[in-house]
Amino acid sequence: MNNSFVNLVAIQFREFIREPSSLFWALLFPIGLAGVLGLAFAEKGNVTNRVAVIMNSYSQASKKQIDFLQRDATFDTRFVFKDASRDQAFTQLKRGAVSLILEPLPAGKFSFHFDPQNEAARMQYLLLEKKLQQTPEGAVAEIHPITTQGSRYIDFLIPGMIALGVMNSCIWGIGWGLIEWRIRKLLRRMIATPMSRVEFLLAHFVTRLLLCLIESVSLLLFARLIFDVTVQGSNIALFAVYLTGVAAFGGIAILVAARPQKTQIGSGIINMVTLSLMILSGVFFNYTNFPVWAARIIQFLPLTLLADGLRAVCNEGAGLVQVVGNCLLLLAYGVICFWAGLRVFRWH
Amino acid sequence: MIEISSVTKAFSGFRAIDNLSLHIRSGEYVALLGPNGAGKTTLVEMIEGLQKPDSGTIAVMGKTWKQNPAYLRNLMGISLQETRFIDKLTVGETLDLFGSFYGLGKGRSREVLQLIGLEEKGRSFTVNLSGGQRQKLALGIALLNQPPLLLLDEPTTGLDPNARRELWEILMTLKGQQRTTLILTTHYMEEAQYLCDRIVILDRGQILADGALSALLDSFAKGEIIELETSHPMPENTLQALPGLIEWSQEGTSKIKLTVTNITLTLPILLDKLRSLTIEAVAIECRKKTLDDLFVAMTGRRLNE
Ligand SMILES: Nc1ncnc2c1ncn2[C@@H]1O[C@H](COP(=O)(O)OP(=O)(O)OP(=O)(O)O)[C@@H](O)[C@H]1O
Ligand SMILES: [Mg+2]
Repeated sequence: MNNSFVNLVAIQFREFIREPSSLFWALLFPIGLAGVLGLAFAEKGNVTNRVAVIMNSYSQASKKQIDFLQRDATFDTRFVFKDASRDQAFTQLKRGAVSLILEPLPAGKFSFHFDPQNEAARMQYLLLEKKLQQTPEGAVAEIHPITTQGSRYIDFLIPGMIALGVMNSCIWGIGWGLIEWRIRKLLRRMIATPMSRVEFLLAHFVTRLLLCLIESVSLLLFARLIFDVTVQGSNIALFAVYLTGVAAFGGIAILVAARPQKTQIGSGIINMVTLSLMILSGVFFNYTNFPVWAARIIQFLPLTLLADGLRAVCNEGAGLVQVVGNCLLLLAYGVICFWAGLRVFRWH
Repeated sequence: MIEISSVTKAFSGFRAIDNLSLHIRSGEYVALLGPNGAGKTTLVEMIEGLQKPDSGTIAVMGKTWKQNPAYLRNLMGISLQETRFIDKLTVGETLDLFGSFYGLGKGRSREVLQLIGLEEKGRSFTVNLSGGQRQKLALGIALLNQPPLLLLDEPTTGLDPNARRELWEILMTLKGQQRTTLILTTHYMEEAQYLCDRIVILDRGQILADGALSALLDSFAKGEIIELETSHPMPENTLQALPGLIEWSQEGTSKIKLTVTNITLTLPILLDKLRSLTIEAVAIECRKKTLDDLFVAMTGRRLNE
């Protein structure tokens, strides 16, 4: 019996099994990713909410209440309270490390600082406020909605979105483009001419820089008009971070695209790089949700360096000096990846 | 112009080119013929520097790829067996792009556009070109830098007879005007016959035969062919008595294939015999031997199998 339907199903399975790379991307990669994420969050069980507590003259008096909050096991969500100076607390808020600030006031009162637009912060506030009512002091809370530019969730989000845009645009734009040209045998045809290979790759990089600029400037303008997001630090610093960011991802794109000869493998690798970075690098949420050891590594990932650098300039008013470290590291990523990519590049 | 000495190239143990040597003189038009998988593309791409031989050397104008890649790239115009262009680029822009790699101005693109007869397609996206137009564009790109050496891998495969002839004319014009050397791979015997002074037949990575068509036919497959279909079977002894007969074979009861030294000598006598035996000739076809006959004679297989 040679049933056509059975055949039609069978050929697809054969195709799948005979392409080892598709096995990897379809089965092992998602398992691996789930494993990594699971590991990262396993220690915590639940998502932990970090709250900054401003240390001031009333803090001693309020300590009991805060201990009460911390000990209370009836909370579904766990809270971690971190002591901080007023400045530190607001910097952490800007970086997304905390989304709520608790400031002790006289007579067991508290004031809450958070962005009412931030859903998570509002939830945290409601939970904490309810609990505080149950303390013997029966604290009364004041709300200080944070509407200052640079401290809202949108201020945290926009630089992250710009960084994400740069990454996706570079890796998909350059990487995918090169892989497709390779598959079409166009690269092979081009290198049979006296065309300079370095010039060829640099042209991709420059094109991408210009396209990224258009994308990012539109996003920034939109954020400015609708949400009044501003750049508080130096424009030169902003551009330096941005430029080195594009350099980093341009280099990474060339490395990623250096070998693949098939679309499945190409898209697999590109997805792996972009998805992992997007999940790890704290574009939408601060990466301090990961365990400390992981966060220590994550802060040096290229997407993190770019996003953090942009946030520092936009929200914390950083100048060139404060972000020069990020710039140099990003540049190093770019140069090393470009060099390595060029060395192993498969032109045909 | 090109000196290939004992070149071998294997793909995971399988020898695509097997200890092959070939010398091509400047100004020659050479056709590489052979069945699928004979190694034509592999050989051509090694000359183009796109593949490296495992052993042996290839020198073009006395230079090897290792020593003078830039010089050799400027020397050659090539078209690959398959290339797709950038979809959303027009024909004119594609020519401009490749021209710029050779430091040529846009004027040259327009000249080439005219040469390949695609003027009215200059503003079309390459993705919208027909197969034949795409092949013409590939040829146009190969011709941009007026290369002394042209390497074309199956430039007319899949073209209709008209388009093929147009392409041939372009190449013949080139032969007349410039001193171009051409290496062309093809499955079409007429093409090799029409364009090339020299034919190299490749099979399983080795050269089976090399020379001018007439010389090859003379040495490997002498004779001309008469194919005859008659109303009644012809008596065997009559056939055997024909002058100049080399061999004959019967296909069915009334179809006969005769190989003779000279058609003009045998045919009149054959017709006389038919008349005297009152056998009617239903169909007669006379032809010279072709490359296909030659290939069958040498390998027992047909060329485009
Ligand atoms: N990259 C490769 N990997 C493995 N085998 C290859 C590779 N390239 C060619 N071959 C093998 O080498 C042999 C010669 O291939 P080649 O492409 O040179 O043949 P060809 O004469 O050009 O055939 P065609 O007329 O079909 O184009 C074939 O058997 C082919 O399978
Ligand atoms: Mg071929």
